[in-house]
Amino acid sequence: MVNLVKDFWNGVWDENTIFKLQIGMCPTLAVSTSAQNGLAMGLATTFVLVCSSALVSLVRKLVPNEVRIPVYVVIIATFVTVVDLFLKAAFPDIHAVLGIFIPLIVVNCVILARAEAFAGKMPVHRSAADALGFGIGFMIALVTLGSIREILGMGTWFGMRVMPAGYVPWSIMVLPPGAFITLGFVVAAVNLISRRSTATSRSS
Amino acid sequence: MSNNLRMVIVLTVTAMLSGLVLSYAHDMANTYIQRNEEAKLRLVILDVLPGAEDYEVLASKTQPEIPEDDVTLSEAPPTQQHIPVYRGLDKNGEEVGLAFIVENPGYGGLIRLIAGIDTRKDTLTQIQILEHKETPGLGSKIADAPFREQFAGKSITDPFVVGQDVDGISGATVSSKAVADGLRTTIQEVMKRYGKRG
Amino acid sequence: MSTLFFIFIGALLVNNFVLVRFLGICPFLGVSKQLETAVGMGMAVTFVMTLAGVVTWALQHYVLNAFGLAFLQTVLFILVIAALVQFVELFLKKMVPVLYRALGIFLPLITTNCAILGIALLIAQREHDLIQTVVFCVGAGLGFTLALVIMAGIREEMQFAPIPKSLQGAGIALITAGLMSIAFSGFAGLVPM
Repeated sequence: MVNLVKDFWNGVWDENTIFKLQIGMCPTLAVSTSAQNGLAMGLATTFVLVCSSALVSLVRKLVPNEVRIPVYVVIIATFVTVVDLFLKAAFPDIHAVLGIFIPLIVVNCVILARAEAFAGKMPVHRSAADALGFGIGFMIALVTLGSIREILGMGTWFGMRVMPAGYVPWSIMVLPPGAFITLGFVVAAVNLISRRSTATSRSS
Repeated sequence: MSNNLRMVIVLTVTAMLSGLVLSYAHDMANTYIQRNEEAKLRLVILDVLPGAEDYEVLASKTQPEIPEDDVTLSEAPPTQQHIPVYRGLDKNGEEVGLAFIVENPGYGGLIRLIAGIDTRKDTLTQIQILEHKETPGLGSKIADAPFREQFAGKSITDPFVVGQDVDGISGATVSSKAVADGLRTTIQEVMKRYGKRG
Repeated sequence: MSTLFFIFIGALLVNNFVLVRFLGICPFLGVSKQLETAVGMGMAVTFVMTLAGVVTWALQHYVLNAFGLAFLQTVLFILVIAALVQFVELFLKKMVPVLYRALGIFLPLITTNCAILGIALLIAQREHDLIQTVVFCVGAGLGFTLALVIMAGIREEMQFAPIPKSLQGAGIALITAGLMSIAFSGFAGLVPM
């Protein structure tokens, strides 16, 4: 049980893909224009990550080592297409906003990295916990970024008005430059927090 | 069993399973996807044509119903060759107006909008922006009420020129012009093809 | 002719792959510390992008659309790209060792570069013919190279700048990219879309 919690927490904070490892940045920057888009993308990625990690772990003993990468890629791409079709059928508006970044989940390095580094060697329940952690960590990053950009850029949060009526939205926040600049400062803030916490744990 | 053979078998089985899963998922999703698209289209058509209870498709993007003797069409720009046009019908099945899709490039990309004509009064009923990629805060105002609503009730023979009979959005001349120009040319095309005949 | 020019400028500057479309961010941040490697990576990406663009264009038109199999797009494209990169690597190693030494180390990184799958998907959405596709790919690849080279130039200078500790590395790189993106947004509206 302790193992499972540790596997989960590793992805949420210690090795958070966006804040710490800086991989999987393309969808993060592109679809974080609002909190809702960030959440949708985060959920889609988490689903693919958990399903493909679990399946990779299940079949890990059947797949010869030489062809494991192509097999992993096909598994991931299949789940991505399922998500793509599901969103198109159930949530067409969200599907339209996320656009080509749904199929691009395939090349989100996080998913292949977890399959290769963890799920290919570990039992199913630990692989799923690990994948869930990384997925949630990714989702938290996307929603954080999306919230900051939406609140400053449009004065709303999840579509609800949060800024006072006289607030003039900073349009640049929802444009491409706003994505880079916001993420730059968020990454710096996370660095600062983890540096402080390691400093205190060392001195105590 | 040799290792090579095993590799081939594993890859083949993986690919086949993937294809199987996907074709099944595609079949399931497809009915919903088509139903969504139809429902969405129906909603906007009935919205821009007040009084309409139903509609029939006169021309759609995939099945352009272009009169064969129409030579002028071959010279039209590509975006105008296939104008989707829908005829709005009231509950007795009488025509109340025509709705059509206008596509014209703006500042950041293609602007798609739907407009309705009241064919009894020859006026525009209203327009709705379906899709655009204009700059947020500037060109994006084409989708806001103050800009859109000035087209409601305009005569279809009006000039549709920004600065004359259309108030442009300050700071977004290109976007405003794209809407006005697109409306003018498409209305002319639509009326030529489907306007009162005899 | 003017259409081709607009497609090229559109892909190179107006809708720059990195700074406007957010494709290929990982190599953009990872391989932009030195000017020399940035040029190598840029060339490798442009090369593979053009090749992949043409192959996937043909597959989309003559296989997927022809047989109504559009839902297999993602699976097919990613496999084709992976195979293509392997093939290019082997081919260069055997036939053009000079080029292999220059680009070789970047090739394995390219498979998971979303710019390649991204361009394949973008091409599938457009109604370009073969020549327009090639021009679009080359423009997008050079646009990627341009952004990468500018970034590397700035980062080489930045090594000696007094940057707050927390901002060092990815933080300052992202903010620099943001400022570059503001500069590139000046190209918006340059060509009729």
